[in-house]
Amino acid sequence: MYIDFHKPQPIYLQMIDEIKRSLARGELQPGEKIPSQRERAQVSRINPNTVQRAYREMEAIGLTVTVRGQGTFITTDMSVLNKVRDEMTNQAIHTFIEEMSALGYCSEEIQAAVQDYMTNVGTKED
Amino acid sequence: MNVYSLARKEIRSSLPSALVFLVVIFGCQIYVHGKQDNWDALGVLLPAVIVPMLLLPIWAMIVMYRLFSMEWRSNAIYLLLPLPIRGWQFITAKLVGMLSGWLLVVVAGGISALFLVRETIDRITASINSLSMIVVFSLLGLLVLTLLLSIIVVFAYLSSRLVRRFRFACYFLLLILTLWGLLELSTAIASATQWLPSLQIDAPEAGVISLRSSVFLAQMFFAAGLFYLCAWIYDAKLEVK
Amino acid sequence: MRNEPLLLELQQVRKQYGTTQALNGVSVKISSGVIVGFLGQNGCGKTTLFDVIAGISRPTSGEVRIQGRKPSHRTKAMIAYMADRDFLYGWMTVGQIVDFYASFCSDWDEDRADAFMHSLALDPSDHISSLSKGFRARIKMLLALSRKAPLVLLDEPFTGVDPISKDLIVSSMMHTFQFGEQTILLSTHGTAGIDLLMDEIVLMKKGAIALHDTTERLRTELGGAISNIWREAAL
Repeated sequence: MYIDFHKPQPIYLQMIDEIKRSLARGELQPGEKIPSQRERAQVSRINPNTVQRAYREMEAIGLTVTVRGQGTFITTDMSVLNKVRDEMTNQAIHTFIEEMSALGYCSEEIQAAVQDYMTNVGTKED
Repeated sequence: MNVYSLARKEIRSSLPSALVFLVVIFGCQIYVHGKQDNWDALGVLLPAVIVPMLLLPIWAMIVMYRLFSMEWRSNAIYLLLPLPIRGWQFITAKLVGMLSGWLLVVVAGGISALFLVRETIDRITASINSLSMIVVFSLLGLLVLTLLLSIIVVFAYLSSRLVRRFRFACYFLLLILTLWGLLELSTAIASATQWLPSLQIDAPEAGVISLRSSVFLAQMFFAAGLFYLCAWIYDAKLEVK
Repeated sequence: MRNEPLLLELQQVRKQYGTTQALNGVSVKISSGVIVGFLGQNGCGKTTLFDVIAGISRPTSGEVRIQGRKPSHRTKAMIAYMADRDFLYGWMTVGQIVDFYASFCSDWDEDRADAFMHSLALDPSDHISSLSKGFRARIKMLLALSRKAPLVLLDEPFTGVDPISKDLIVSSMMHTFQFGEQTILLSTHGTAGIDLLMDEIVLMKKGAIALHDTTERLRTELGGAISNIWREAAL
């Protein structure tokens, strides 16, 4: 798993975001095992302390569950997963709206532009 | 454990030069063997046994210098100095390495010398009654001298590492000065023991031997003091650069 | 920096070689369990600093404390130092140098050394003199990381090392790093990929510390591009 760590955000947060994104895309399934901290540090060549921090954080927000002696798993708690998905959606929309506002679009114009885009380009992508 | 592991490395490093020295001794002995008929007992012993054995302490000094300087020249000191090795272990290992080469030369050179002089040996033993005693004491003296000169080399080398420039000049100067100091000390001790008349007059042959061993003892003390000093330099003063 | 116990403390350390001032009053505190990157151009005093911590160079003035102790053979026993010099005996084989080094370390982990021998693609029967720089760097890494030393000092472990060796070295370092128990100080004059590796960064300039902060904070301040640290330092 390669992550482009060029954002000024802390790396451990970017690691969590990457897991969340994989979940939203369906690359990671609820209940799926994720690499151990040691493996993760070794494969991605990330500082073990950073990896530990990311894993601890994911555990704290209920995104992952660690079973002693077996490893770390994505939670099967759908409420948490739905929340994560909503969060990601909100974040994406927020960034989009912000950029559009910066370009001078008002709310109606944005809606129209999105609708326009979906009929012309968006449907072709499917 | 430390000393054993180091010593094994030093033995391996000093063996090639010991073998070279042995080859030179064998060369001398073969040369003497070819000309043997023309010479008397001393003429055989001098080039075949005595001179090579007297050169042995010089050989030891060169070997010791090489064992130490090689660690710096090959940067191996960057491996050794950060390890928890004590000064006495480091120096002892080098002495063991040198002495193993020394022993090889003495034993192999001695056996071949015995073989060479087996014909003339009767003539020699006729003139000297206690030959084995003389051999044992000569070897003992040679060992003490070798150790003493070696530790002087170590002292001069380690001290010269403490200055940043003119290291070789410093080494050479210290070597000469310490040797001179040793000579002064030896003569001082010799005259001090001479000053005690009862020891020399009353005792027959055994007394003479005990007098000489007191000089040996003083030299061993001198060597031990230098050894302690060298170990301290290694532990507390030595740097890589 | 953190709440972890203090491992290393330097106070106003100076080192003078003749007229050149190699270290010019270095004061730094490193806590236990972190990976710290020492950055700086050649000749900025990184190597001298490491030598002083390892106890193979004596400071002209100032104090060095490793777990509260002055450098001695006791602190040497807990530091695994790999200098940037090529110090491996050329006449030894890989297996011989490993056995030789291991015999001085009471914290040597035989299993780990075997695992490294395999993962770093080293052959114990190879002669050191026949190996490339990349492979010699791998041997050094095996020697340093097969010990359970509380402090590991790696001086320029990536300089002149091929990319494959570098990747292997970093991976093995990440793999064996003992959470909370081990501290790794490593010096480099490049910046590629260092922000993922380091907890803290120390920037050295002309024998003094120009900057010391956590990588995360530096990233936020510099907008993600930690390689800008050079420009920052030049100001």
